[in-house]
Amino acid sequence: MTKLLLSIHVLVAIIAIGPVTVAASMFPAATRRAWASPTDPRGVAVLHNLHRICRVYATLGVLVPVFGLATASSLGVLGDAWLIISIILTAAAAAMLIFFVLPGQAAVLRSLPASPPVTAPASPSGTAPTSAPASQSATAPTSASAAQSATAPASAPAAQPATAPDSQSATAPASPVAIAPFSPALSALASPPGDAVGLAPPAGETTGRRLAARLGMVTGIFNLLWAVVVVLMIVRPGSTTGV
Amino acid sequence: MANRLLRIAALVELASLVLLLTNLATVHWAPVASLLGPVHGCAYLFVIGATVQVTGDLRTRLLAAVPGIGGLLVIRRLRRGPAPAAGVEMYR
Repeated sequence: MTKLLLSIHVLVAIIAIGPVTVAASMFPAATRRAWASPTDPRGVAVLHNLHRICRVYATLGVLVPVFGLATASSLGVLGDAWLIISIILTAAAAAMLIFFVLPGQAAVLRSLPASPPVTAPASPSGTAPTSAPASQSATAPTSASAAQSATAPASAPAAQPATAPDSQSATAPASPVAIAPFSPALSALASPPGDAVGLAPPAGETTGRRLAARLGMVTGIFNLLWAVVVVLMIVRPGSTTGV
Repeated sequence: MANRLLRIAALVELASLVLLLTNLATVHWAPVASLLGPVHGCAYLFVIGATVQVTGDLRTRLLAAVPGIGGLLVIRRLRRGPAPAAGVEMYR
């Protein structure tokens, strides 16, 4: 039974956490590319897709610690130091993902010009948000940003504060605490209303670069924590259960 | 996505608990317990996570933490009371 539990644990760790690390690592670079050519709808579509991969596989990732704990309890190693340290580091990595990486990605998606909200605000059905933004993001930017590429970055932040509370209540783990680290960047995005018409593209691109850099840092910390946990699981200093 | 996850997780949560208790009362097979235990734990966590994503209402979220039938209670509450009202309540 231990072997089955351990197999599920390792398999889910590879299948669920692997895509999250890859997609989250690609996200900052894709953000810079999307800001470099705001008229290209593919940039926004790629970002939405990467964010969706991160969200879905992060949810699947819940299986990893649960089956890990089951494996450890059937091995009788729950009190070992290497395992306790791994559990603490895993909790830190999960907190990094839930409170910084995923909300940061959502903030980037909201900050993009002419991009639809990440999730529809508190709709009772809940099935619409997944399909609606995807189809909108593929079609909307072509007409909107081509016609008003100069004004779009200025108008998007103006509309943003009105929609933000709704979308926060919908994406709840990302809610008030989580958005907080990115709020300076978001408020900076919304602050210059006067000169935004003439200088909108460079200002927006700077903000995009700042958001991408911050996201790159937290994603790197998440990946590093995760790598340390994996190495700890393999080395298991002080373990007496073989290898 | 979260709504479908909530429905599946709620059913798995209850079904696995029923199977676990049935196993405990009858044959008490150790492998069944050690396999269904994590499954039930996962479903429990999925229910809480999905509920937090679906609604901002504190009572509904607390309902999700009820063992065994929390997911089904949340689904019933969401079906009766419209979700937007719960979202507005949070900012009142």
